[in-house]
Amino acid sequence: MPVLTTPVGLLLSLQLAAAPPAPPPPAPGPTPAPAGEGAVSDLAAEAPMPAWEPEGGSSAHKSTEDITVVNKKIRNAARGTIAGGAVAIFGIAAGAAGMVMFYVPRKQLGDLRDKNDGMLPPDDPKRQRAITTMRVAPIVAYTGLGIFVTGVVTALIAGRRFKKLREEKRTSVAFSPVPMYRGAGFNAEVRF
Amino acid sequence: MRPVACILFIALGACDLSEELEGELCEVEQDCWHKQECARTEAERQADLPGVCSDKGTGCTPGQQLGCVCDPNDGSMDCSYSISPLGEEYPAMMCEPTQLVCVIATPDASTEG
Repeated sequence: MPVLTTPVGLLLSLQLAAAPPAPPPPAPGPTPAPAGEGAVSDLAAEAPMPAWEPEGGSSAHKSTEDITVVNKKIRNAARGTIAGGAVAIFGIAAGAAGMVMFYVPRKQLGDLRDKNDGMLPPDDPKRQRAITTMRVAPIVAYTGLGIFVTGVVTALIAGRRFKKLREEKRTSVAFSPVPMYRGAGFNAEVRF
Repeated sequence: MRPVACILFIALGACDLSEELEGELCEVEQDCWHKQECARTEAERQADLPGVCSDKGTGCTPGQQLGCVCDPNDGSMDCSYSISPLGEEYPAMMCEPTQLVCVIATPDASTEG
């Protein structure tokens, strides 16, 4: 049967050659898949964006400054707090010294009077020193009180600023569900 | 109690040593409170006697300090006693009738009086 196979093969070849070319692939038209993606995109656009929930309250995370600048401000605020506290301590010490100065001169004069038969000796250095101390006492006391108040106010202001800046710097995390193609995702945003 | 009151009333300026120093012996202004003066007459200075602390502007106490004015007809101003806390150490005085100032009493004048 080799005689028959040759013409059959030839005919098959000719038939294939004469056959019209395969139709081109259909032009891209609306496909079902893009319709589904469009729905997902709309959902994504409508998805709520979670607001930041800062640790330090609503006032936190307003700053967009460089972290080094923020750190410098925090250091300055800390120094201000410490300095204010030190000034307040100095002021209260000065105020206490002024209060002591009210008491000491009277006692010195009393001792002098006792030693001199109930009379204060005239032109006596101790007597004059006691009088001078008594005159200086209110100046020292009020100056100390003023320094104390100044120190306390400085420490309070700087301390509040320090706390606020530190809270702004703290890390915050926001979580939110995100609709995705064929499912949903979970979005986490971390701010340092 | 007074220091406490002193602290409480310092704002009113009520705290000072004027009460303690009132009538105390003095030789210079620094011996008295700054609202007072050392009332010391020239006669006392010459006799090497101390003055007394008194309110500013008061001057010497009439009839009770050596060299100060006196009134022989007024018992409180006739130089019969001194305001000085020296007491008996302060010399006895008499009111000089012509000049009307307290002077050191002389034995003759004392016996006459």
